Amino acid sequence: MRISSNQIFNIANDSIGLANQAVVKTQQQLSTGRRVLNPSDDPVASTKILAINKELADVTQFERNINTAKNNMVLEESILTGVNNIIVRMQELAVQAANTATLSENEYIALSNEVDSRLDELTNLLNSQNSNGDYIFAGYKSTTAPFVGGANSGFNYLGDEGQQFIKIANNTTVAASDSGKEIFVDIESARNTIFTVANSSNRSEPAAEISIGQVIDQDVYDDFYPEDIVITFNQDNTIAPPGKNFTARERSTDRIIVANQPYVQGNEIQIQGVSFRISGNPASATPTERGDQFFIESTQKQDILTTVARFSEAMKIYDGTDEGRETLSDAVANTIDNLSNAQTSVLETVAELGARFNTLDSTEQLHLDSKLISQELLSSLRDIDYAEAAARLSSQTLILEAAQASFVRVTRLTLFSQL
Amino acid sequence: MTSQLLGVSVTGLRVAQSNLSITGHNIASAGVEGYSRQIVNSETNNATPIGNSFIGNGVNVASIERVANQFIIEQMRVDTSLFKDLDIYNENISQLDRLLSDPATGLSGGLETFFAALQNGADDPTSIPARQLILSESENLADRFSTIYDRLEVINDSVDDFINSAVSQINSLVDNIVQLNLRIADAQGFDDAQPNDLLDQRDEAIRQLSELVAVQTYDQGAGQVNVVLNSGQNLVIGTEARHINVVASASNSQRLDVAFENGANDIIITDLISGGELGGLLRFQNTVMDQAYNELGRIAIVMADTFNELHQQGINLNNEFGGNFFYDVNETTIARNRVIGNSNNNLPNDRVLSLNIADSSRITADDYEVTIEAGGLFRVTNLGTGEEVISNVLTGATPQTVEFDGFELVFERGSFQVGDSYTLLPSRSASRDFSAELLDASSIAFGSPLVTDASIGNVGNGDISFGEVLSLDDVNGNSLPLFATPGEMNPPLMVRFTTANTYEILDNSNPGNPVDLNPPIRNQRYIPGISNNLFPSDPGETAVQTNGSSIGLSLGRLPVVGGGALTNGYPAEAITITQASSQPGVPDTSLNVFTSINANARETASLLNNVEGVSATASNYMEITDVQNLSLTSPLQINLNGEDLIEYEFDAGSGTFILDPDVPDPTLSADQFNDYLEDRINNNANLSARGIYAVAGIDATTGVSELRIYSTEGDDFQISLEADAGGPDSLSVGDGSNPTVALDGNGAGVTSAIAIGGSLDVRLSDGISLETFPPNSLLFGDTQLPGFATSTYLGIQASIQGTPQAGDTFTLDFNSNAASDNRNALALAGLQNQGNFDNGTASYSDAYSSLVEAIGIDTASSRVNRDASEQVLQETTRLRDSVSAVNLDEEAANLIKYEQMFSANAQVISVARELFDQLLNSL
Repeated sequence: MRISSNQIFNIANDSIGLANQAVVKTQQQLSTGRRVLNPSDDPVASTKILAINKELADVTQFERNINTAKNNMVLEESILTGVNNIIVRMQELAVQAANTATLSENEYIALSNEVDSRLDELTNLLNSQNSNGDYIFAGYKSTTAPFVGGANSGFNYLGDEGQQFIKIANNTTVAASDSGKEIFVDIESARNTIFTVANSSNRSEPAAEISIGQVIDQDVYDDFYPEDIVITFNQDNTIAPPGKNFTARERSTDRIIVANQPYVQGNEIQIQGVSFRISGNPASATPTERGDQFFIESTQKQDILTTVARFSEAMKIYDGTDEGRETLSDAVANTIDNLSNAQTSVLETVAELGARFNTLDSTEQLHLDSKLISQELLSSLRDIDYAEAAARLSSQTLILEAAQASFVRVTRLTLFSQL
Repeated sequence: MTSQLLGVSVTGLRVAQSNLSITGHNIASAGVEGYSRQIVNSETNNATPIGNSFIGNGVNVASIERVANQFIIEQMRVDTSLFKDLDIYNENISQLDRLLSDPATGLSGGLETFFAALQNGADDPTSIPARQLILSESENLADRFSTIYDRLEVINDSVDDFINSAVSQINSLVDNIVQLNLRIADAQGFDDAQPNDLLDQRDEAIRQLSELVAVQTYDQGAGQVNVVLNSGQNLVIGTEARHINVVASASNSQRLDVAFENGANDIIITDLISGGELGGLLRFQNTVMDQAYNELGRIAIVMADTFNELHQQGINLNNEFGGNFFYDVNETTIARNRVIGNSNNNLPNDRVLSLNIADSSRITADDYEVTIEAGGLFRVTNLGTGEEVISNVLTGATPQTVEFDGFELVFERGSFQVGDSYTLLPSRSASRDFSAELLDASSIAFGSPLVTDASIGNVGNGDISFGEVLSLDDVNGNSLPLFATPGEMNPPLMVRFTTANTYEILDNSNPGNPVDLNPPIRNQRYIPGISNNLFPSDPGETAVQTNGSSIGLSLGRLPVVGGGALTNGYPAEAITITQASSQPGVPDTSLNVFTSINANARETASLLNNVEGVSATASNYMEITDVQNLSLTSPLQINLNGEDLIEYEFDAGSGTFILDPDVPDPTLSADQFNDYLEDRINNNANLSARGIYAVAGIDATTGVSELRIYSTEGDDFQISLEADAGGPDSLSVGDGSNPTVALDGNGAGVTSAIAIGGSLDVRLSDGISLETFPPNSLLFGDTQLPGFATSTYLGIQASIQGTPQAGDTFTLDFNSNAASDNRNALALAGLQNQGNFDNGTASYSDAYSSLVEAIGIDTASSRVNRDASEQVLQETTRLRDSVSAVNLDEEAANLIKYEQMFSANAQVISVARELFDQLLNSL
């Protein structure tokens, strides 16, 4: 084949250019440590690289989430330990108080004073806040203190049943909080008992209130249980002389328990062995609208604060008579049972926290493992094999040098220099 | 003879000189692009005959030729076009390849940090800094989208510039070729001489043209060549040039078309151009660029739409619904900008169309075209696949909407005319439009608007789930009433268990008196051991009830006295269930169900339940009131569905059964008597097995003592009173709405009995309707009345599991002040890995990865193709060089050769002179 002078130059140009490209590419790979520089270098691997990078980012976030969950749970656990300590002290006091034969009224007053101060402490613990200022036992409604009220007015739980979940792995969430209702309110009561609540659609402004109430005659109430009582305010002219008055009905049957009772603000009302007070100015019924309603609902649950408050109350009203002694020892026995139920509830939650810790730990371990595997995979897909690349670089350099050297030699071969 | 010798050597000298000058020309032109080496063809002159032989007369230059091979020249053009096409394509796509994968510019990094911030927020929902970070990251994400969009624009603009300059180069080359054609024709004019250098120049000009666009040539004669595009359009015809230019596309002014200049009416030839840089660029713009814009835009649309939808369902720290997190994908301007009218559409220019996103999970990344044809027919074609997606007729009433592929095209107004066409670019500029809308950290909606609560008075162990919001809008896009009022749920709901296995859902606006919803959700089956969903989840589901005049204890029914068959008096009717067709033009399908005469509700329900998409529950209710004058002696009996309710006991004294003396006297206390019957019914195993139970109570309005009897299965109640000797015994039965009927017992042992039929709640899946014959049904009421079937969809869902007991209640209400609620935040974070694309198969990052992968594969394959075509071109270049290019060594040899030839001829002249001199001297 005839070779033109152009070809000599072109061939050298092309081959030196290619060799140069190869050297630069290898050099780039070596200096970045990556085999795949652009997706087009290995489109399939680069999609996998994107996926693995995302997975690694996910796992890093999950590890952060696990830490957050752990921090929340450590705080909760320490508070629950504090609550348990108070319960234990209460149990000691209750056992001491059971000694009705020897203790005097004054000694009971002293005991009840300690119970009251412990009650404050307990309320504070139940209204604990975290570093953000969130009430940790309020469920979702964490901006307001969940446990309000006092020994006299009764306690209310203003939170909800909300539980915060934290995502610790794809498709796995773990509860990072517990609602106060679950731990401290939904506690099995030794006896059938009640809780009171006003109808949320009542019209009175400010809203009339109903006190927490007590079962004062357990036998009568046990007969009535599990019925709920509905207190409805009637039209004023139902009684003579006209005035605020109410009717109490059984909720499920609408049967009237007592009808048209005149209302005196704050007076104790006793129905079916239950005593409670309504305060404020309840709206009376009109010919077109219903009057305010209050519900006394039957339950077998009693919150821990009420248990403690009722314990203190029982000791305060002890009058030293035989009858009083009997009521008191009844109340103390009740308290001991209820405290033990409360303790069970708290300890169950602590145990559950422990189980969640285990889940977190094992998930964290899993993440560490999968991170390692992902990183290995990533490295095998993306990273360069240095030995191979170094060898490749030297062979490419050799080719480049050979191309350059041979070009110089070939171009020197010209007849004109011989003329 | 000397003169002849002199003459011969002079011809030799001339030829040697020509050769030397051509060799010199070759050497001088060795570096000229497209130069073909030239050679001198010499031939001997005609010899002079002498006697019987000839004496040669020297040589002359026959011709000077260029060494060129037409086949190779043409091959060069083809290979050049191919290589240039692939080369520029590869060069541009490589830019995209780097842009999309670069961690600093690609989308993956932005998505990762955004979702990481979101999870941080979910971990700590009350933390304002964590929320603030989400806002910053959302802006960052929007920046990523717009940065990539801007870079795409830069690449696209540079491609546009290149196209413009390529077109002007083509025009100047075409002019050049025409000039050369002219000059070559002139040069060849005399004696068909070959103007070698002009031919080289023309070949080179055509080669340069083929760098820009693939062309073919053919000889026109007279030394002229015609140049045509591959598809046959002329660029050069002899000495005439045809210019092309760049115009804005009629269907989309953002896009460039290549056209032949033809006065006012340019002839668009964009689709006819192939090969060369112009071909490569157009191909790049119409495939890869469009894909990159659209796919990225689709991610932006889907991300904004899915995120917004979920965010709008959540509530923020101010107890408000979340609103849009990212830009509103159906904002009017944006929706209108997706439709581009063809600039050739008929006047007046008054049409307004918009393209909304109806279901982002179904949308494609393709562009569409709408054409309006005769008779108001419009046709929507997918420009990506070329397939028609839908066609229909314009009704003339505006706005008219049509849905396809998850889009909703709205013909808003204007005079749509035959021949109009519109280009739909659903996702082209979405990544530019994508923006973060929220400014205030507290307005990020982390909470769910729904909160559930199990009453503390519950006796059973039922657990209600936290509940979730499925949608705030009904199937027609109108707000559902439940959350239509800000900050509250209207009405709040209560789930009440009527037995351990049945529950009802009530309007709990007044907790003192919860009432039925409309349509009612009652007598629902509860299955212990599984998680029971409380609400319908089919947005299109409707419910109908039996409100006909024959239902229950209809007017005019009389008791059967003294025995005989008991019937509920229900008529036989035909019920037609129609399934609306989902395809236009396909007829609806119908199915008839016939109820038999006196059929009880349970049977009818089971008939209806056999129809797909229909679910019927039957129930029955009756009240017993006004029990009078029972003397409580034998043979008094009240019988319910074959079960005696009054107890008798064996009296050993008389040896007969006598009425249990513990049966309370209703005259003394109606309540106690009712309590007795209630106990008897609830403790009767046969009745319980059939789902019949009783509750004693007082009528809330009349204050009358009553016994309520329920059947959860819808069996007829057959109640009879067998009178005792006293009398007249009497009790009233009612169905709760119609007037009561008195069962009077006159005379010992005479029975008075009646049957009461139950009622049905029927739920119809989306697209199913129910009609009856006669249309004004005695069972269902007027089935043609508007509002006969009402939607059951509340847009929420919650479930109960465990073992609730009768009387247990659960409430669902608006979740106000729920600062720590992170349910919606978790749901939002969950979007990251959810299949939001292609009907639920790909997540955001999956969709992005496939774009990166597609472009990567395209880049890699275009590189391979480019390299291959480069090899081919080099091979052809080598071949051409081998044939036509100058070899300097060869020329050096020629130089020496012709120098020697010249010397030799000169020597001959000198010999001739010497001979001549000798001759003269000898004289």
